[in-house]
Amino acid sequence: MTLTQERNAATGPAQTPAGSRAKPAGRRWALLALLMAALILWPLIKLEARVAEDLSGAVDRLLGYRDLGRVYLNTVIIAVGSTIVAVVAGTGLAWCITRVPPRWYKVMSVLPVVPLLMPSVASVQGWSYLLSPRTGIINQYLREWGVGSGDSGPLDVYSMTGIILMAGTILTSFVFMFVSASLRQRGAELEAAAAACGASPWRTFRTVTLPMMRPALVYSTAIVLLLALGQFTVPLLLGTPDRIDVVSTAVYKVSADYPVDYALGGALAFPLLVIGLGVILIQRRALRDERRYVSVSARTRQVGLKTSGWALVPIVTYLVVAVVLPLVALVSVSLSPFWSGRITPSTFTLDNWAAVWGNQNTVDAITTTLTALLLTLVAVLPLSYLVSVALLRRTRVPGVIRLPIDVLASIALCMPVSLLGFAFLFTYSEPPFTLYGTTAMVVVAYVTLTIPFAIRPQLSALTAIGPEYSEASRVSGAGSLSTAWRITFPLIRSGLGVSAALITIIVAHEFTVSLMVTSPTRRVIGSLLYDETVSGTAPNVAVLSLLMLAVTLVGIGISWLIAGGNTVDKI
Amino acid sequence: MRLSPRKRGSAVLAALATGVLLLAAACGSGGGQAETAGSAIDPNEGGGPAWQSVVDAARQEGQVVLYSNSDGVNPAFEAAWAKAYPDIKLVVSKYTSGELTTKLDAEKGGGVVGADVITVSTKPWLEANRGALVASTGPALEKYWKGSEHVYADGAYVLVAATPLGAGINTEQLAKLGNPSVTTYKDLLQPQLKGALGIVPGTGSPAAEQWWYFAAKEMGGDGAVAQLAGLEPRLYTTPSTIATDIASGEVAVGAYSIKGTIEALAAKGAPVKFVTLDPVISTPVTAAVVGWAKHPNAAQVFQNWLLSPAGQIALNGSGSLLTPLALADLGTVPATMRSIPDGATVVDGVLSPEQKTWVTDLWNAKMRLG
Repeated sequence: MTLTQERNAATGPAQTPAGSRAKPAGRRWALLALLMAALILWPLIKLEARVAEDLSGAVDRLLGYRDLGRVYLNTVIIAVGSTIVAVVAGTGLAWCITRVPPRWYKVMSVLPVVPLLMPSVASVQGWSYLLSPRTGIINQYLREWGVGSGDSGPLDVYSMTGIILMAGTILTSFVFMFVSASLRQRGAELEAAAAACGASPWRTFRTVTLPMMRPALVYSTAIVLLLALGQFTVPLLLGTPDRIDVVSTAVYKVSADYPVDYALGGALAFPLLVIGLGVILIQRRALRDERRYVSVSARTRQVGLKTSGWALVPIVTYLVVAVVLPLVALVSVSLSPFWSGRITPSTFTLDNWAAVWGNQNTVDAITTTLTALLLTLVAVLPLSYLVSVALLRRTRVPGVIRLPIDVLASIALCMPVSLLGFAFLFTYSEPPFTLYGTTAMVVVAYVTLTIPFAIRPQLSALTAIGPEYSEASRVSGAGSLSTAWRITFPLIRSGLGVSAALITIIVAHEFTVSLMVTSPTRRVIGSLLYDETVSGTAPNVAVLSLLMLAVTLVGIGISWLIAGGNTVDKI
Repeated sequence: MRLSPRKRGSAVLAALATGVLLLAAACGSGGGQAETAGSAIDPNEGGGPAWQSVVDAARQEGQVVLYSNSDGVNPAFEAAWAKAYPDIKLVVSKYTSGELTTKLDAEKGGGVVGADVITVSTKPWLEANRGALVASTGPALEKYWKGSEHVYADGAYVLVAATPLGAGINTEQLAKLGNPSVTTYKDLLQPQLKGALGIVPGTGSPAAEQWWYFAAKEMGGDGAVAQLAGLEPRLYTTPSTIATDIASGEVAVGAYSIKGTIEALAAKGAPVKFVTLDPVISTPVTAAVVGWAKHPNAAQVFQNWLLSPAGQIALNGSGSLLTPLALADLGTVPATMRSIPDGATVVDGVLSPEQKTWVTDLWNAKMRLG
């Protein structure tokens, strides 16, 4: 049985504080809004001020930018293409999970999320060793087997198709998370009924499952489209040889030209800001409607559904494509004296690992990354909790305060990361902050970047537990802090754990903003990896990519302890 | 997915253990660095008590931060410094040209911890910021560089090396193409190289763009650029990234390659070799102490060392880079070390109006660069 409850957020008896307390509470939420504005809006204002200083000149230079139309077209093609790949693959995987035999369900349901642990820079590097046109290992095998001819191809990772598939593969896990969670929450009764009435699995999927997934699909498509629009790593690493520029890489190239034309960079990225804000506002409206409905199922997904061992194939294939193959390539290259286009175990050596570790910069970068990660967790978890409470419909927050908090909480999502990095650099390098060269600057940047991701799991958890326990606590005389500590936190512990896991993944994998905000005396693993990519050797890049994965796993272990359970599964 | 507490514990341990194992694999042994033959000449020779107090203060500071975009600043170079000044830690940060100057711009007004000394190829930035640079106060400038045309702005910045760029070649891949001769710039235009040629176009680096301006002249002028573009060369951001693909065979020939980078791969067994294209065109390596240095004395000691025979041998001794000084002035030097040949072109990164137009209207347009 599926129980659908409509919750009218504003009418809960204890959700409305006494009138005398409304004003101070409103002021407290206003303070939160101000804090968020200072954290997120201030760098943007500084950046926009730089654009405004030379607006007409910036527009002129923008219009004179070579292949401007091509850059925007590439951005749209890659964003839409990779979103389609991710949505189709992510939805397909979520559906496959509902069809796997029960004994495989637990393991299989977590596998599509595992690629989130893989740094995208590592995936891209790994696949470049596999699918380079001439020396890619897979291409060499294909040519040996008679697929393709000559010395090149048949596949080329350094192409528009390669970029779309690579970015789509990386983003698939995000879609899977949203859609799978939605399917799990809603149960399988309706599909079981359709099957009992003789509908084929495909017809059941088309007429029952897909319409039920629509809210999750809309939400995940919006998120993934935003991430795809701001894609930096994949086009930067794969687009250069064939001159495929997108807005993010164009902004980055502008920033790497002397003298830096900040106004032009800001103007280049402006359309993305507008699109991003638009998507966030639309999504906010959609999410508000969706929150009015909470579905509870009394049965698991599998009961009453036809299962098949074939459902394992796409799931395992995705894991192999997204993680296993690039990981094998990276490990091989990290053990080779140089990248030769061949895996030759007889030449394997630990010299590269020794050389990378022998470099004090590596040890320092790992230390700084872990320190920054811990400090970011300490700052973001409480802050995102407060924001989540403010965004709950049942919390009485004046609309004029709630809207800015909501927008501010999401705004970092819609900013191209390369531009955001510059906003941080010029805001926090100058007085009164003067944080450049300190871990504090790295932490402030990471806090701003991770807040949107930390809010959603907590908001979902808070929405799911309802207000009753907190109200009981307050009625029994407990204060806000005591109620949060003794009642709410334990109830949303898994949500906190998921937030911690997401923060860990973002911080450990981050390299675009890190590149801007770190200094030589305060590097993180991401900035070190980028430096090695630009001026180092392939084996050292492979070693650092694997170290980045190692740092992620250590962080996931920490978040696991926070959550008291498997955060990867709970993501 | 629900796990029993025991399984959860095991899973946490597994995640942590995998991470720690990877970290442990990295620290399995210390990294060794090649020693280079150094100079017997004391870099502080000729310095009086005032200079000695700078050296003492530098030792107290204990660290010097170098920003560089030069491939000559490598582990061997760092090892040579560590041997000369074991109590002053050298922190090196490598950036591409544009990134480096962006960092410097961000630092110069902020009073923040950043670069103490720089080696860059971007003379326009140095000229624009000459007031923010500090001239070398060590004895080496006077002793070895007096009257040199490579000392600028009263010693505020000095050309300490020239990087001759040439072609990296994968011998196996070139053999598959029929072993076409690659010794001149014109040879890069051979039709056999279509699809097998890589270049570093130098976007964001005026010195690199200027290098291509002169290289194009050697290839035959403006028409050669269209010919080059017709070969559909793969583009790379730095000499290091192109070297990786030359070694793997992704490209058979890579133009704008650095001797040291290619030869380091050859030493590891890669089927590659470096070809000096005739005539030699080099990019500059210019060193300066920044006025906002947090380790001002260590910066002076480093700059003095770089200008002395010891620093010159550390930077240019392998022959990958060329020294602006006459070898005879440097005492005993490695057999591989070379001076900048008379009449050789060393670009300065200051694009003339004609060169700017060439870059914008021809080079960027034909190569489809942003």
